[in-house]
Amino acid sequence: MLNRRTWLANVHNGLGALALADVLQASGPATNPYTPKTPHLPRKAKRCIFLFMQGGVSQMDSFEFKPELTRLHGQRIPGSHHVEGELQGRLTHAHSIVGSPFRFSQHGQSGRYLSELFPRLAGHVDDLAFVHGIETENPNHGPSTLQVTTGSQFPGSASVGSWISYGLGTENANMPGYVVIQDPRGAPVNGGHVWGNGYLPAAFQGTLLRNEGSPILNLARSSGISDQSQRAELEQLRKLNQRFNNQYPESTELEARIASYELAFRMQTEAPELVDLSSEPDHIRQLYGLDDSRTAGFGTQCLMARRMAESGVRYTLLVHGVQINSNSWDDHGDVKGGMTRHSQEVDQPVAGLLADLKQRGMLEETLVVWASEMGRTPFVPGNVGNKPGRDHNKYGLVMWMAGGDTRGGATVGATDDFSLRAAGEPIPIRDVHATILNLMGLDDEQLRYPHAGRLRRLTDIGGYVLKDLIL
Amino acid sequence: MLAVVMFFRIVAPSHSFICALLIAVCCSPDRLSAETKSWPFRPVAEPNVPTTARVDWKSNDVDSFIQEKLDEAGIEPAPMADKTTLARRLYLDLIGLPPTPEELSSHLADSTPDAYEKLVNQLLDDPRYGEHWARFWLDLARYADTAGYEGDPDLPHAWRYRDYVIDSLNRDKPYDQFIREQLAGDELVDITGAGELPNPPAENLVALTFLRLAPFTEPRGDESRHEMLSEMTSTVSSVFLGLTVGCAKCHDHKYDPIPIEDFYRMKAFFATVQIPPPLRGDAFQIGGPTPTAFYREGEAEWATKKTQELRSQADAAKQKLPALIQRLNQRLGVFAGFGIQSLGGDFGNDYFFDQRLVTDDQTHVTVVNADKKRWGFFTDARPSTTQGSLAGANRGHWYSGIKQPTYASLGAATNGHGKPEAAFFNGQLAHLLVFNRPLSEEEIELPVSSLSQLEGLRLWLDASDLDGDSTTTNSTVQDSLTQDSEGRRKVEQWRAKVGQLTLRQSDPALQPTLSTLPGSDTPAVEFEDDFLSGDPQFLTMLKDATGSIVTVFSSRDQDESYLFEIGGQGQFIATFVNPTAKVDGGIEDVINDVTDDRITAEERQEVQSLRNLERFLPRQLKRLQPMAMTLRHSIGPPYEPGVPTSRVMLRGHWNDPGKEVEPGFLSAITGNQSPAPLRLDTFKRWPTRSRRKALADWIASPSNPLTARVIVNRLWYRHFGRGIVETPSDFGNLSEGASHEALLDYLASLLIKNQWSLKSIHRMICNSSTYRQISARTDEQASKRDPANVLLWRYPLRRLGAEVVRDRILHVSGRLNEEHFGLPIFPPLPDAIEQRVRYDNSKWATQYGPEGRKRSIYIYQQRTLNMPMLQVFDAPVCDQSRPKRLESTTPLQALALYNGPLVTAEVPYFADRVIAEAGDEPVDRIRYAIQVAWCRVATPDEIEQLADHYSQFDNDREAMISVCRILFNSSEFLYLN
Repeated sequence: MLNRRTWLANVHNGLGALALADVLQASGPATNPYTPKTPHLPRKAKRCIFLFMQGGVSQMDSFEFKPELTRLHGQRIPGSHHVEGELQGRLTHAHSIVGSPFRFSQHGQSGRYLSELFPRLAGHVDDLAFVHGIETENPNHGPSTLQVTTGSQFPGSASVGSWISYGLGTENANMPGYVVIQDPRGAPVNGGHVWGNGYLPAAFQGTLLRNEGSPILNLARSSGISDQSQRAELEQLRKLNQRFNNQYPESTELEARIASYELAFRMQTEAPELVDLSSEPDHIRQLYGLDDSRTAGFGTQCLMARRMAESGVRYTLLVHGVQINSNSWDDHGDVKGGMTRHSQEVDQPVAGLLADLKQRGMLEETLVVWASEMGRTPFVPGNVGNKPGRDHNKYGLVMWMAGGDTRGGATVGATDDFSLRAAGEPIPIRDVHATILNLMGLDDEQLRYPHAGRLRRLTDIGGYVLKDLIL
Repeated sequence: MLAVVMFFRIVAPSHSFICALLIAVCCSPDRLSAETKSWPFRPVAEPNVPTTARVDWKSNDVDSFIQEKLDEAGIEPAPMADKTTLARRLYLDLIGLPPTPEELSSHLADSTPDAYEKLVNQLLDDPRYGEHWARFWLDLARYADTAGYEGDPDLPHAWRYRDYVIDSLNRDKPYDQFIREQLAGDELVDITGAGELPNPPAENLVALTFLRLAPFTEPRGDESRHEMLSEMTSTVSSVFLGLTVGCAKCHDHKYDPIPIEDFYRMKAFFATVQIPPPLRGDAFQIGGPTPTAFYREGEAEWATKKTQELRSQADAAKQKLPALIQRLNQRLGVFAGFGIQSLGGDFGNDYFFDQRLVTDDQTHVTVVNADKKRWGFFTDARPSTTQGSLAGANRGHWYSGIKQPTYASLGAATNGHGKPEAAFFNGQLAHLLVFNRPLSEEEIELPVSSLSQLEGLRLWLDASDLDGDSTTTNSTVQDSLTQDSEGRRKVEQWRAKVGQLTLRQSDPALQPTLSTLPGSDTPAVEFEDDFLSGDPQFLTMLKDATGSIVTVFSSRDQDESYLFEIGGQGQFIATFVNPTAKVDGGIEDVINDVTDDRITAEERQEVQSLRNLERFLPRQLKRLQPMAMTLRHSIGPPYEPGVPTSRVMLRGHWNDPGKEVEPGFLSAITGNQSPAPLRLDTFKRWPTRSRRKALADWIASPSNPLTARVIVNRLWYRHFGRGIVETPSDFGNLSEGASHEALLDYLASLLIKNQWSLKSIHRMICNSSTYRQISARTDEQASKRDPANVLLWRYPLRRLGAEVVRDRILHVSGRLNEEHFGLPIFPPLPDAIEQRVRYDNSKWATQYGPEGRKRSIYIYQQRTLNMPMLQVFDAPVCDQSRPKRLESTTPLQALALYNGPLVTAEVPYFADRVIAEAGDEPVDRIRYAIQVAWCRVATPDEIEQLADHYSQFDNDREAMISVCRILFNSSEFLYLN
């Protein structure tokens, strides 16, 4: 099935990766995997910026207004609820409802309620389309993070960004098509699995953009080599390789290897320029909150993401939060203090990103997705206490999207009065994934890859596109 | 159809249910019988060797089969490659390393007619053969040294399985035995009497690690067990049988004759598996290890010696490190430090540090000073410059979060509610003074002796390492029963000392008492509720948000810390010192920031090496315990669970039981779904035993149609970069079948005839003319008829695997450490990426010395951290069984080879080696460098070209380094031809 001799890359137009005939099998004539491909559907979005909030954002303190919780503050959840597993266990024990300590008010033409924690994002509320009551299959950080980012709660599946770059290729041959900018404070749960290529070819894994030094690993020349001597060495290398290639005139791989050196060194020039924020004017830096130590971290990530999008990087994953500690949204204790802090760190940067994309006319072509790995419970175990927190809730994840063909102001799904679980039919994560793919012009039924006896898909057995979110 | 699906979606959103439904509707009921007899399910029969082969070309029967197909296509086979090419090919293919110039010339000098065959045998007998070929098995076995998933915990004994595989391959362990050991190593010894269970051989127990390598960490009862046993079922089927039985977990297989019952009948063989519980402290892992002796010759002695060696290295490191750090600190001008932490209250969960390493055994003072407007802190009388991100945000209400303090504790963090959660006291001597007013600038700078004269609450804390063992924390010591002469436990002794604390409290009735906190042994100083509030002096301090805490301490050890907590109502403030914590601009940053040139790379490496020796000692010692990550069958009633009822789990869901099934073999092969015969012991005392053995025996049987076919195809795939069946773990209908069906059957019967000797198959393949063909062949007609070279009309040019690339670089530079077997190794990673992907503490114990330059097979397989150098060349860290590797060509490979740390480090050694061994003439040097790198004689053109380049340099060594870097980057270095 795999026939690595049959691909023929116009390597000078692409990144020169190969041995991917099995990918190409599905997509018709053999070609370079990074070469831009025709989308399945006519969609405006060309790029995606995925904002992942590690830890489990509390939905009833952010995007879900639940006055009933305030009314019943300190009491048990009334009635019976068909929840399973850990959550069911917690409900059978003594627990107390925790009303949101934050004020909610209506915003925009859509009149959507948002908590006071997102005053700046509130200014963009009419651009956002919300999905409520998303259900994951596991209430713990590791598995649910993987499910939101790769579709499966087990390691080894391909991440959303890998699928999108596999499906669409890249627009900029001098940059990787899929870039990851993690929290400067560290890695998320599951580390590199979050942007892993899984069973897709390695060419489609996320490239971790580094926060300092050279932005891509091994991009900087080792000390003692000047630009001139590098040129000289590469010329010698090219000659030697060409001589070797002459014995194998049919080998496109060897040709691609020569090209890969040329491309690598083009990247060497372009990537550092791309991450150099010094050229950004002060008002833009302020827009992203770079002037405030609280927002500078995620602000830098967001500004970098805009620059990536501008340069044609297909998919940029930003992670806010570091595994499970005080720097993630995992507020088991003191949800008031925690949410205040986390939201402060991201509100200005995210709003800044949306505003900036809009003012540059880029929002039309850029899908922005906000996600976390799960929601949180409306209650604490035992008594409310002084600084109540919230536990994990795999039934209550909220996500929003903006840009591209997203129907701003739309809402899909809802949770019950307690934000405990979906009010109607829960929305599985594969439906959200199918929607993201659709907004990127990809049909999840057609975006497949053969692995372990099956044609694998991001949505596994297929998701339903949430049509109400799409213009 | 659609309507039905939609309907079920509403009532049963489980995706697998929908699948099951679709299958039920779509699948015809008689697929099973229709396909039972088709290839590859029919028995292996030795085919007739075709007789058309050209006598002058054929070396052995393999060639007859190849030639037959070539003839059909009208393609001539290629001529044989020259002796040098073949030797290089054999070395790289069989042992994964190139020949040295000496090895090559000694082979070239052998002019006997069977010189080639002798070389094949020699390399198959070389212990490096197992080190190379183990990789293909470890890929299949989804081998890793960590569990992956949440927290990615270490699997300290997994490495023994890696050595088991290397050793088994080197000994040419019969493949059927290899299978039996890995599936049922604990059940192989027959029970003939009525007594105890026999002890399985240690080797068999290590082999069983195979079944435990699934990437799980979450022990969650029945669901975990279901997933774990299902994973075993799927992996065993794809690895040994080349069938994707796992597809039938939720529904009948869509493409192959594997009904859902067969998945659960197969899974039932694993139903009596008993996993040892995790060790204490490893609760978030599935299972622990079991005592299992070292069994290879000399292995036990090696482990003892290694243990001693590591201990003494760690001891030495402990001596050297403080002096080194102090030296660096002096150069950097950093000073002693202090941190303050608040967990709760108006601070949220934050740590504020102004911190430097404190390992000088000198007395230091830190002052936290707060008035109504601001707070600040001072270290050795110098104002802090790094107060944390909330500086200024909490102006004026620093203490005010605590309206009414109800307790204070020493040494234990209680998270604001008085119940200790963790111990932080690990220091030598601390002296705390709490004042009810901010100190003046002058007071802050006063010497310690006069400070203590000021009014204030004064506490002494001596929390030195209670048991004198730096590897334990004091919290674990609390569990220890170590007693002194008076029968007091260590912790009581400490409490007795702390009992002497001095408090400047005027009212004796309000003196705090020393006791333990509720429900624990943790010592704490307890105050009456009104202690602080009762005395106007302290009440004022708290309400007015003004005051000062002074810590006076000396420190010897970098892990020392102190804690003084005062709080109530779930809020508190705490002060402590923890010099290992990270802070911007501290020595830790300087060490971690490879671009900071205030310390040299050598110093940085020295610090890290010394620190790693000490920090990772407990983990390394754990690995050296005679333990294995094994499993066994349940011993059954009355001690453990008996034989459970096995059921189909509807839609693969763990708690959705369907019909009952008995353990049984795949009906696609047997033609029926009868229960498998289970042979219990004579006295039927162990009803839970022999299930996996029954499965292993069936798989490892000559009459199983798939086992032998699958393994010889895997070997073929690794020799030619292409399988006879191109999907080595899927012989089902989604594969495209075999390109040379008869050849596959021929090799499969040969394997069985040769007592399952894998080396006999390697020998057959390598000795064939097919294998010995040239790779550089152009033939327009052949290219047109068979562009993918499926018929093997030339030897396929292939890129070397990631591990071979790394090993070859080290081999060529002369720095490869060829020590066999042993602990996982941790080669240096670029730019401290181990810090970027870590969860809590990095698991990567970077080794800058020769340890880190062993062969790649020994590299620690951390599921969340793939070595970039290997990753770019398509090496996975396995979560799932990997039957194939890709061969990509990317710019990231160019960057890794041209700029990456491995080549950068090794190029000078390669150059120096050439200079030392090739004499002074540039031309000789170039010729020799090419000989070493490419394992062949350089052509005049090549020498001329590189000599010209060489002559551009003024400095010979630089010229040589440049040439060597070019060679490491060359295509010829990366390709097997």
